[in-house]
Order: sequence, then C-alpha cells, then structure tokens
Amino acid sequence: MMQFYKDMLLIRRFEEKAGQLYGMGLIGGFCHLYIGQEAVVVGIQSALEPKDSVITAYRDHGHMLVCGMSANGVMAELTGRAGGYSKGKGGSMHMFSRDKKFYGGHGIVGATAPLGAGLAFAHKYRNDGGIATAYYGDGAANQGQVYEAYNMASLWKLPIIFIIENNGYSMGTSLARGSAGDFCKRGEGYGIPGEKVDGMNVLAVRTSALKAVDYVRSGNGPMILEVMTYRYRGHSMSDPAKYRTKEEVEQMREQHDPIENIRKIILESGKYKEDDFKKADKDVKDVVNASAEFAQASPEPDPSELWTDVLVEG
Amino acid sequence: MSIQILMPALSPTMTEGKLSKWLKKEGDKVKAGQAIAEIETDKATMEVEAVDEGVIGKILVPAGTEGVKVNAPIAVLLEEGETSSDAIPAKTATRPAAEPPSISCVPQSQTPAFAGVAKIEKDWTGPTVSLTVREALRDAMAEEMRRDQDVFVMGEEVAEYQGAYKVTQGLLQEFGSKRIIDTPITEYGFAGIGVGAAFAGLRPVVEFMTWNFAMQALDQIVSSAAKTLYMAGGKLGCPIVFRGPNGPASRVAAQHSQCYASWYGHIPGLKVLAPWSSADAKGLLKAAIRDPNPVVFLENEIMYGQHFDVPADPDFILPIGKAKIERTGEHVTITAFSRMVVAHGRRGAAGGRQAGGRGDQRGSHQPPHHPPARCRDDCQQCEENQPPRFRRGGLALRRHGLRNRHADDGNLL
Ligand SMILES: Cc1ncc(C[n+]2csc(CCOP(=O)(O)OP(=O)(O)O)c2C)c(N)n1
Ligand SMILES: [Mg+2]
Repeated sequence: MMQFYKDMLLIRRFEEKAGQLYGMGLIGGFCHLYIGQEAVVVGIQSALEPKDSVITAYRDHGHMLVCGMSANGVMAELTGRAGGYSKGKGGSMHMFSRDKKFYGGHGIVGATAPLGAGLAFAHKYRNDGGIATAYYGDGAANQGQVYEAYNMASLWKLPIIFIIENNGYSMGTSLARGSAGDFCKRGEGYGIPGEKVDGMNVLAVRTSALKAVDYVRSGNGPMILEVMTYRYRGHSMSDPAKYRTKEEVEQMREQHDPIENIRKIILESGKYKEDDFKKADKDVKDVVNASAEFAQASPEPDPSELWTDVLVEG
Repeated sequence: MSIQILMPALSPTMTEGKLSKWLKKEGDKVKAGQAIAEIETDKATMEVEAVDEGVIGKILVPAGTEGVKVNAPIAVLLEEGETSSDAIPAKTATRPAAEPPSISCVPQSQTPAFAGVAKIEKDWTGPTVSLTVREALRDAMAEEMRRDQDVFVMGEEVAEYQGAYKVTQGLLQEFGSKRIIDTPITEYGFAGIGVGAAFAGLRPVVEFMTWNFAMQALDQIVSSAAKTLYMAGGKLGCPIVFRGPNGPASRVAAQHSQCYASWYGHIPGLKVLAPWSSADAKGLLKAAIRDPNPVVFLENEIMYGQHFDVPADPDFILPIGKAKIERTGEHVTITAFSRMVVAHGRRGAAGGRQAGGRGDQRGSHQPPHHPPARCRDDCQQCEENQPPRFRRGGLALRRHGLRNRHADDGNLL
C-alpha cells in the first residue's frame, strides 16, 4: 500500500512540476496533466506483470512513470530536449519504451483501442501469456473505431482490458452532453463483460483489475473497465475549465482525493507513521526536482534531427 | 446465318476464365436469356446467357477448359433450319498479333519485341517461370511467411473466400487460420490492430479489398503507422505492409476508381510502391514485407491476370527505391508506375515500377510504340478491329465504353 501511495504521489508531484515548467515557458505545445486520476493507472498496473503491454492516449505521463520509465527522460521530453525519450521529437503526448512494454503516448482520440487490440493480438499470436491494457477517455469511448476493436477483440478472444478513464469531461463536453448510456455496458452486444469501478480509490481499482486480469489472461477474451475518476486541472494547460463550477472541483479534491484516501487507510492500519510519509514525500520530491534539472540541462535537439527517424534507414 | 458465341467478360477486369460446365448440348434449342454455360472467373462462378434464339450448332470449347480468353468463340448458334456444317466459323474473333509498327523516333534496332512477354529484371538472368501478377503476389507472401513466423495476413475475405481478387488463394490451406485472418468489414479497426501488432514486432500484411476502402483507415495508416517512428525518436517503428488493388479498374465509377499513389506519396514515413509486372510485384512485395517501415503497396486489378516471366531463383527480391529502365532510348524520358508502365497490356510505353518512398517517383523511360491515344490495328479492344458480327454470350457490352477506356489510357500516358 505504501508503494501505491508513493507511485501516486510521484505522478502528482511530477505533474505539478510540469505545470510549473509550462508556466515558465520551458514546456511548449500541449500538456495534459493527470492530477486527480492517479489511482487509475496505479491500481490497474499493480495487477499486471512485466510481460504485459500498455498503451494510452495523450494524458500519459502517469502511465509512463508507473511503467517504470525514468522521470528524467519523461521530463526532458516534455521540455523538448535531446535527452527525452523521443529525443525531443514527441513531446508530452508521444513517448515509448519497448523495454517497459509501453507503446505510447498517442494523440488521436480513440486510436488506442484498436492499437491495443493489436498488441493483444501479438500476445496471442506468440502465445507468450501476456495481456494488453488499452486506456482511453470517456470522450474517446464514443469513437467508432473503439467498437470495431471490441468486435474483433471479442471474435478473436484477444487478451485485452479496455480501460475507460471516465473523468466526466472530454475537453469541455460533460458526460451528459456527449455520451448516452453507461460505458461499462457498451461491450454487452459484443459479449464483452464490463464493470464500473471507483477510480478515486486505488484499492478498489486494484481489486477490479485483478479480477479482470485473471479473466482476460485465462483466455476468455476482452473485458471493459470503466473507471470513474476526475481531473482537477483543465483539459490541457490552456484550458480555464469554465464548463464546471469551482465547487465541483473543490468537492472532489476535499472528499475524494485518491492520495489522501490511501494515506488515511495506511495510517489507520498502523503499519506506517507520519515520519514514513515525510520520508516518502522527500524521496518523491527529490526525483521530481532532479528530473526538472536534468531536463533543463539537456540540450535542444539539433536541427538536423528534423530529417532523421522519418524512415528506418538501411 | 450462324452466330458465334464468344467467351464473355463477367467482371470488369476479367481477361480469361474457366468454362466449367455446359448447360446445353449440341442440338439443343435456346431462347434469348437462357443460361447456356457456367463460367468461373477470378472472382466467382457465373452463368452465360444466350443473346439470341437458335440451336446450339457446335460446342467449340469443351466443359472444364481453363484459361479461355475473353472474346474467344466458345460455341456456334444456328438459326432454325441450318445444319452444323454451316457452323464452321468463317472468321474467328481473335487474330494473330501483328508486329508492332515502327515509329520514326525510335531507332528500329533498339525497339524490343513487345508482343511477347515482358523482359525480366536484368540482374536476375537465371531461369524464369511465367506467373500472373496475382500469383506473383501470392507467392511473395507465401515465401515470406515460410521464412518468417512473424508474418501474417489479415483483411476482408482473405482466408476462407481465398481473397476478393483471389490474390491470397491457397494461403489459408498452407498457413492456417492463425496466420491468414478474415476480418469483418472494419477497415479503420483492423488497420489499427495491424499497426498495434507491428508495434509489438509482428509483420502484418494488411490487405484492403481495394484501396478505395482504406480511406476509412487513413488515420491509422498516417497518424499511427507513418508518424510513430519520428515521434518516438526512432525508438518504435511499424513494420507493416498495407496492400491491395489501387486506381481505376474498369467501369466501376468514381468511388471504386481512385488512385492513391499521390496521396500516400506525400506522407513522410511511408514507403509507397506501385509495381507493374509479375517480377516487380513479387520482388517488391517480398522487399516490402522485410522492410522495417510501413509500406503502402498499390496493386492494379487489371494487371492481376497478366502473365510475365519471373526469375525462378528462390532468393529473388528487388530493391525498394530504385527505378527500373524498361527500355533505353535517346530522345525522351517517360516515367511511369504501375499499369501505366505499359498501358494497353504489354504494348506501348515503357517505364519504371514504383512511386518512390518519401514522395518521389523515379524512372527513366522511352516513348510508346504508337501515339498513345490511338490503338494499333491488332488491338483486340478496339471497335475497328472487331469482326462485323460481334456477339458475346449474354453480355450486351457497349463497345464505345471500351473505346473511351482507351482514350483515357492515352490521356494518362
Ligand atoms: C480524433 C480526434 N478528435 C479530436 C481530438 C482533439 N481532442 C483531444 S483530447 C479531446 C478530448 C478527449 O476527451 P477524453 O477522451 O474524455 O479524454 P480526457 O482528455 O478526458 O483524458 C479532443 C476532442 C483528437 N486529438 N483526436
Ligand atoms: Mg475525459
């Protein structure tokens, strides 16, 4: 449990730092922060094994960190530096690590459902026992290609968990204005079971994820998890979030914060003391500060990089 | 007077077919519209109907004959009262191919004989086999699948149906349903699944029934397959081949006739190939499957049934990005790809074989034998060259339609 706390805290502090660097003009372009949603990826990934694949959209820094990618490399990419995971050519939305089986980092809303099904297809093809997790948002869940992927994943019994991170909004469009029915039930017609999960509670997410992983890994085909969560910040850095009330955000922060939740549970268990949290907080802060320093010390990519990596040469 | 019943074209691109069964025998009376025979094309089995009433005087092509050329006489229809001795065809629908006429700007000595099969790749001088473009493509996939377990084929109707255009014929039987995969009609979705599988290191060959339908998958081809390598700083590539027939077939209207060479040629991160002959098709498809980049492979339906010599060497493969000089000359360079290399089948112009990677199209070529907009007098498709009483079994084919097609070909050249 302490590990969940640390993982979530790392994401939160990392994102806060990214917000600062953005404000300083060190990060450009789009930058979508994950603050508020930390329990989703931490809970899900805790149920996976290293051989399993992960793919997500552009709100992706948290996923990278939990998959074990280095904070230095991620922050350097956010700042567009040569030391970043993509040599500064991907930015906030596009980083990849074959080692960690993290396949991005994609900017097209909805694309991760079929791409994830392709990763699952590869697991099945190779019979390596791995499964894939494909994350996308509540807005993305309305894309047609998601349902094309459901159909084929179910037909071919692909080992994949489709994870809808339902944070209530797709940019400025609330659920009520953009989505009919329940996402967790949208697999029914394809024979895909779904479950709605409290995404502000990392333990609840983990419990559901363990069940889903077991179901999927046993060869039953795909499963859908609709994880109810909330983003505290705007859609991206430039979004003033005028489409919702301050009170709504405050209420979520005060009463449902996933990090505060687990902290309370850990303290109540008596296993850890305040001092342990202080130490954890400091460790996390050190990692994050170091990443910001690393990023700023890393050079901008050479202009000649514009012409490389367009095609694999030779 | 007796009428010849000719082998009909039952699809816009059919050049030959199998006469699988006669439904009438000699001496039988037939009415217009009655089915008289069954014909298997590359796509389907269909019935030939009589266009006129009369008596089947003589069956010229026995049931079970394969490779019957379109327009070849298959039977003779007699008018009531005629005898079968009247049925000996006075004049057949086909004529021996004449020598290509010379035109003054091409020195005679350098004019290759184009009436025969196309020349093979110069670097591959060993024995050759004659293959259709369709077979060449199939063989390329089969050979690569034998060589590399990570290669698989997916698309609509590729497995059980054996391919909408029969390009994947026999692959299911050899490789099984794990590696030859029928998809539902969801181009966007299965293109995305292919790309995801390629991210994971497999080597998918994704067939689009035709490239027209890949518009639904354009986003996955461009945004996911082509761009990821660059956005990953070279850390994650997408070794995938998207292939299928491209460009105009024949009389299938605008939605089914688009050429995408220029579209994909403008996308950084894609390699774009548009082969002409069987050798090009085979050598380049093998290279495409081995290539670590996403390759858009544009075939031409009209070429599928055409025969060319292909090097028999099992290692035969062609380099991507290098044009082939089909004919050398002194005066003009004509660059072309796909079917336009030699329009009108194998006659006419010469040219290169590919729209190059990164958007360039390279080649260095020679003028056609005859002015492109005019057909030679041995051309089977021209109205001028048809016998006066031209009939095809059951198909009222409008000759001017074909003539228009010729004019189009000429314009394209
Ligand atoms: C195909 C496509 N359409 C539109 C966009 C622009 N866009 C980026 S994010 C977004 C909202 C998506 O919301 P959701 O899926 O709920 O994810 P969230 O941002 O809440 O994590 C939109 C419309 C896009 N990137 N891709
Ligand atoms: Mg959302």
